[in-house]
Amino acid sequence: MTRWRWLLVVAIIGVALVPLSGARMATFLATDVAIWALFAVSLNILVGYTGLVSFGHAAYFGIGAYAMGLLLKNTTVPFVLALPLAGLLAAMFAVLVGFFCVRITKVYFSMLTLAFAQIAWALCFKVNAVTGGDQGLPGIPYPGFLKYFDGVPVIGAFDMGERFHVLVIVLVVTFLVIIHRILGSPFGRVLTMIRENPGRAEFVGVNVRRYQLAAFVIAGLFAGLAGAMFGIFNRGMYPDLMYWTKSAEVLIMVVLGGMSRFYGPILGAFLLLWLNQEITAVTEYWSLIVGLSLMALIFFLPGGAADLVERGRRFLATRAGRAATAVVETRTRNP
Amino acid sequence: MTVSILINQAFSGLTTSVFLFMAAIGLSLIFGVVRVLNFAHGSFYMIGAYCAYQFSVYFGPGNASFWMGAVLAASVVAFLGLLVERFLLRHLYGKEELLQLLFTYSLVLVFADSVKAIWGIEQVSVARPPALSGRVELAGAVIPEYSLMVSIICSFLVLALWLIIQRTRVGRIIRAAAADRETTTALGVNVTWLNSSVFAAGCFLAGLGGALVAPVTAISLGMDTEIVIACFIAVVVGGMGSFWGTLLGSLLYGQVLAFGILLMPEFSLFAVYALMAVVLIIRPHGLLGSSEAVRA
Amino acid sequence: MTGALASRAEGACLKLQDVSKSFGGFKAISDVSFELQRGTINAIIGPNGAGKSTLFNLITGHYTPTTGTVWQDGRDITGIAPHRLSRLGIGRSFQRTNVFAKLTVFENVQAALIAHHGFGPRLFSRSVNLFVRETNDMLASVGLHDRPDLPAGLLSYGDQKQLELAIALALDPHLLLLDEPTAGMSTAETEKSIDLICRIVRERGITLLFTEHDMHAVFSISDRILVLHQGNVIADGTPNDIRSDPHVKRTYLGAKG
Repeated sequence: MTRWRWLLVVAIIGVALVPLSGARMATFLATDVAIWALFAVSLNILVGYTGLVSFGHAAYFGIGAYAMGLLLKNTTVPFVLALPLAGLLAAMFAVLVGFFCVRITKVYFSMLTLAFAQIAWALCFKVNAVTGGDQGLPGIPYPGFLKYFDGVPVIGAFDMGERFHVLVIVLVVTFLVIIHRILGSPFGRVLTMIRENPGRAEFVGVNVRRYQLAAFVIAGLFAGLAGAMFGIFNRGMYPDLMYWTKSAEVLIMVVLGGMSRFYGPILGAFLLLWLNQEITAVTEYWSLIVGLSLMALIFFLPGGAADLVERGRRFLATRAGRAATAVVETRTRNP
Repeated sequence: MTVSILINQAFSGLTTSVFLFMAAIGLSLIFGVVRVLNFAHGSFYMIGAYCAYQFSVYFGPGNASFWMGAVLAASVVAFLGLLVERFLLRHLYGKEELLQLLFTYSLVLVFADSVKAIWGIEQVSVARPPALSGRVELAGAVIPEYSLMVSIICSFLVLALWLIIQRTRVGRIIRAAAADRETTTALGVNVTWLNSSVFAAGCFLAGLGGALVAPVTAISLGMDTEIVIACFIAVVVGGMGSFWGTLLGSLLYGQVLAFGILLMPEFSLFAVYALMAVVLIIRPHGLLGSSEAVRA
Repeated sequence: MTGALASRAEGACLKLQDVSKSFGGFKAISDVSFELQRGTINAIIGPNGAGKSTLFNLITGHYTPTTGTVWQDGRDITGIAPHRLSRLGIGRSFQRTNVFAKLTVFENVQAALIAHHGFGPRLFSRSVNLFVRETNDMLASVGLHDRPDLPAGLLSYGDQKQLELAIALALDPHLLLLDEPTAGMSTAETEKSIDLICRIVRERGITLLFTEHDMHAVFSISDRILVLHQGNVIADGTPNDIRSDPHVKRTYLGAKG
């Protein structure tokens, strides 16, 4: 296992240092993927681990972004404080929304998450004074403290955008490790119990609503943190980014990558964004391709890309002669 | 705030409701019988509008050509819906709900780009039928003849649908399937055929709605995602799978939007979403829906 | 964690008093009263629709009684929230199997232990090494220790019922409610299962209340039998009492007995 851990660390450092390659698009993509990966993983806390399908996750992303944007543009609050504040604001909205949503089930739950998200969108869209209305909040600056890295080796040679990229990688990896820890904890175990059988979970002593609310808030918090970083990365924040179709996009990433594995949504974010970059260069019918791919996925590989990866792993394991246990895979063990 | 302004707004809201109802009733029907929340419903609506445009180009202006075009457009959409159900959706019954929902969303994406490919990104428009291009005065308010005609058509539609659902054998089967699927199958009803028919019928209504709204709206990409949210609101507020509920939901949506624009223009959009949220919080099964296992 | 009011009815682990439940116009349970003595094995029998599952649901708080009270160890638990039950020492299984399908056999029991012991709020420790010994012991006692990594949903029906039992037992209950624990099992499986349940329950001094259709199983292990018919208790006594009760014979045992 330690061998893989080292490989992972090297890969992360590699991603952080992509700007060294000089390829602007690669850096751009890497930052984008990192942020959306965090966003998607946060959604998967709800969808894959707790069994709650939220159609309105983009709201927390958006709130985080607007909060960060407003703080950095209009106040002297430094990035270091603004980030947790943005996350906190998103989490607070999640408490409000979650409180009502966990009282109803299934499609009604999803519809209510959608309703609240659209409320948030409508407010941002219309309350011009604060959020800039449909013009949005352009010109969100990079964090000021990045200026002080001039003397640092390697990073000193990067421009602000590239330094921000390194910052994003560091932050995203940290947050992902935290989420991974949470999901592997007893709390995470309780969430999977709730997903599988909420009725039974009640009877083993779980206050289902309370845990669902907790999951909702944690998911909202990290989505807000992702959004906060996105606002800066995107050099601005616009209401579009909170419309329900964005919630659908991140949901697609989760399913594309695979809900049943922690790394699934990360894979999904990478695939979707990378393919987007490659394919929109050749054609304007990106939606068509996503739609068709999604359809194919649903019919032929509902477990997502992670499913393929797991099959590959098992294949290699049997090849290596390690004891091939029961025919089936265990889908909820954290890697 | 004179009475005529109020009546104008009320009628404006009614117009919105009428067009919304035609789209929403299809969604409600599909949800009630086929048990799928069809995100692509707005896409069918949009395709109906674009087809109406296309037929108006083929047939040229004129009364007969307009109405004929509308019916043809709806039929095309119905046929499209039938194909989708028969060859694709059918294989997902019984699978996880999330997969079904994402499938319908993938349709949204495919249809959106297909429409873009066929008709481009420019807005298109359809003229009203010449006989109905004037206005009528009603209690001090000025109402477009076309909207009035569509409202009348819609009323007949409501009556016809209600009669079908309440008084015919087909209607009884639909109600039975909506209430209890398994028993209905056990009673020998061909549920496969039922699903296909209801889906196609729902799409027909969506297409018709789109075709009829064509002269009074900007036909463009983005229609699909806008209308489907409105449909969700109408259906959720009224009660999923409930006929009168959808009608009530559509009426409420229209009035809330119209008076919202009048009273708090900044927040009119917010008002309809707030309506949806409030209903879901207080009465999740909708104002006229039946309370099956909704509460957690 | 039993209540402070242990003064009332020592020995009466569970007591129902005039419990009724109506759904709309339909009276599912009418004025049911009985007491269960600690450490005894009690069965509720009756035709389908007699209200056995409803009664269980009333005891475990899934439904609130329209009238009447439910006492456990002297404490009023009428209409209690289901998630409080396990802390009161009440365990329950369900008529339709109710396991955590995509979790492994091991994780099913482990997760229940984690929740029951209040480890749920711990966000930053690892769950994987908690309660390993206890889980393995429990799996061994129901005979599932050879397949810990199998997703529970893939077990045979009978094995799932065993797993359900394991989950209920893992919570260390004083009172165990089993709703048709051998439904759908073959005769051999039923006998094995009943023996196992009886042995575990006696070993741990658990008070058992179970419903069953298999009369052989019921009569072989029960200290006491209650007969439910259309929401009413029509007979209450030892197996011999019930066997010779003419009313019971007429309404239920008829062809069996």
